[in-house]
Amino acid sequence: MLKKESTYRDVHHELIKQCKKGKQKAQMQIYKLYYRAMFNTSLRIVNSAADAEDVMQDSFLDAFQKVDQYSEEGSFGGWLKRIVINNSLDFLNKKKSQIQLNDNLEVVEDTKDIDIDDEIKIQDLKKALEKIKDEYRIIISLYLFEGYDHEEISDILSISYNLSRTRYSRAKKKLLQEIQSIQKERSSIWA
Amino acid sequence: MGIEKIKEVIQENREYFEKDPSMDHMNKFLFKLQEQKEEKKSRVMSWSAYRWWIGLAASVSLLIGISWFIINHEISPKDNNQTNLTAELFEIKSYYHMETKKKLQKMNACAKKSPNTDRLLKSAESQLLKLDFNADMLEYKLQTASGNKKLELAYIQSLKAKNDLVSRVYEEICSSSHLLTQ
Repeated sequence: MLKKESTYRDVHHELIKQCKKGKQKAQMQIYKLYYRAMFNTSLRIVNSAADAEDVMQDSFLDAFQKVDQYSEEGSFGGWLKRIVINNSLDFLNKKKSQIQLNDNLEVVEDTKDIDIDDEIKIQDLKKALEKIKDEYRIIISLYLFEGYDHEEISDILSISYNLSRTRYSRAKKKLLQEIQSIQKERSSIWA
Repeated sequence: MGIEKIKEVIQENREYFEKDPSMDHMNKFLFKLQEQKEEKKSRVMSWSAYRWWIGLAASVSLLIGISWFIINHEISPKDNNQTNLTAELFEIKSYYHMETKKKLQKMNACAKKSPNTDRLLKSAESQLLKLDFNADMLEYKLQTASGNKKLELAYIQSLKAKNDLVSRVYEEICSSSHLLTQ
């Protein structure tokens, strides 16, 4: 039986090949292609533009240093994003010594009781995301923005699959609560 | 319903949730990239310098090893002769060796003058070999049993026996040759 070999090739295959040779021009081109997406991925985790920029740039340097490890089985962007996420999480861990959510003690209201306006303003959502705890923002970011599933999230955060689901559920409620309070606050100003 | 709405808002307005890094981020990154390259270069250089020093150290060690080997091999025969004898025993040994050597030289000179000494010399030679072997054995045992008085006495007696034998043969050969010359 013939073994079917992977025929996947990243769209920037040639550039990556040049990066593997240590060509600075190619490295800069790769940076230009991905910096914005990677910066925002990091920003949603570390919640500070200056820190996110540093983490993003250091992640690019890390990626270029170990670019030989990139096997081209998946997209380069996906591989790079994992480096950015890991570095962002490491940064937060160092900053806060340890991020640990006490999932058993956290009491969050049921979503049924949270009544939010149908018209969610982008600004409200952005503000709510900035206000919630780091661990909630991280899981929301990984699930809603980066599109990872719970299996991937549990791998990234080194937690169990069930814990990932539980944490996401609590984060979701917390986010809705924040939006609700922002909406209430605004309506009280207008009233 | 809430979270579905949020998902929708995010998907439809993704661009609004994105920000740009600082204006000079590109220059900052270029600087970092060059810094990393320099660091890598100096690491490679320090590695090659390290390898050079390792090579030098290995050569020096090899030279020392070879020298030690050569010196040791030159010393080892001497070591075989130098036993762990006490100073007194060594003095006694040297005395008897010197005495025996002197008498043997004289005896050989006398033997050249008298032709009928072959049989006597051969018998003396075989006895001397036995005495030498005996002395060597005792000397070897003394290396591991230094201070053993019985062994020391036996060793001195074997040296004396050799000297006595040489003296006796010397007297016999030299007196006969003296008589012949008279």
